[in-house]
Amino acid sequence: MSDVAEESVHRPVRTYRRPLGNDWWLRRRSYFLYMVRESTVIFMVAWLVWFLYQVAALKFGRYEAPTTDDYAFIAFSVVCLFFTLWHAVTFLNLSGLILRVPIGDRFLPAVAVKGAAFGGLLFVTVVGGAIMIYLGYVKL
Amino acid sequence: MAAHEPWHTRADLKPSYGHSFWWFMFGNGGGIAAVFLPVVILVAGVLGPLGVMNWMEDSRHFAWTLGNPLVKLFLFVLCLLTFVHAAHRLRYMLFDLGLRGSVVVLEWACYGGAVVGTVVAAVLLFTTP
Repeated sequence: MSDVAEESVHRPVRTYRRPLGNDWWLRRRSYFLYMVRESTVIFMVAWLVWFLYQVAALKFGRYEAPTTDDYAFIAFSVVCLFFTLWHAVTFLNLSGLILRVPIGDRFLPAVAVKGAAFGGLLFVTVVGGAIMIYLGYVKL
Repeated sequence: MAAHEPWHTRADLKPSYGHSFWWFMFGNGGGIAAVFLPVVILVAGVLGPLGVMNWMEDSRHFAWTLGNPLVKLFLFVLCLLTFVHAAHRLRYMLFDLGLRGSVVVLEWACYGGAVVGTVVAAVLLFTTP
């Protein structure tokens, strides 16, 4: 190998890296929706923090269940529920792509995996919701 | 090293166990939160205040339900995995938004927050009522 050729092999390739501004996610709708999806966790964590605050209130004897007059809390919960469902739909939509369930020398079709994931969400919502409501009617 | 050698036969590549651990927790956390969190918010956060009786109806029902070890375990796992999932997403989201100065600080803040949140959840859930 000649000196010139050897130098060209070992010399680091200079590439132009286009600077990425902080507002790149506002340039396209798909970018924006991606960032919305990423930010759904903020609302999920916010609601769980409120829940842990309620557990702390119970621990120290100051628990009061939210009532119909707590408009701000109901609005907060509705917003958190909306973004939690957004997370659920976008996350479970990927299950068919990510989860590879082997059946012999083949894999379970992606649509079946996705169907099972959304079926699980529906089942847990109906059964879990019924149990949580039933617990409110238990006579203590 | 051959230029097109498959990644799984390359001796110079080693598994990143730390990275795989957080990805494992991220994936499972996302799935658990997607399936279980909506109904908890729906019943306790929306339907309850609107008048539907539920497990957080009053302090007696809340305490009685939380007294069950399985309920404690479920709520703890839900908090743990959701916090870790959120930390992983926030770490990359904040990086994408321009906080690229110190990835180490970003990771400590996000994952540290998840660990603190999990410890608080454990202490509260397992010592109440």
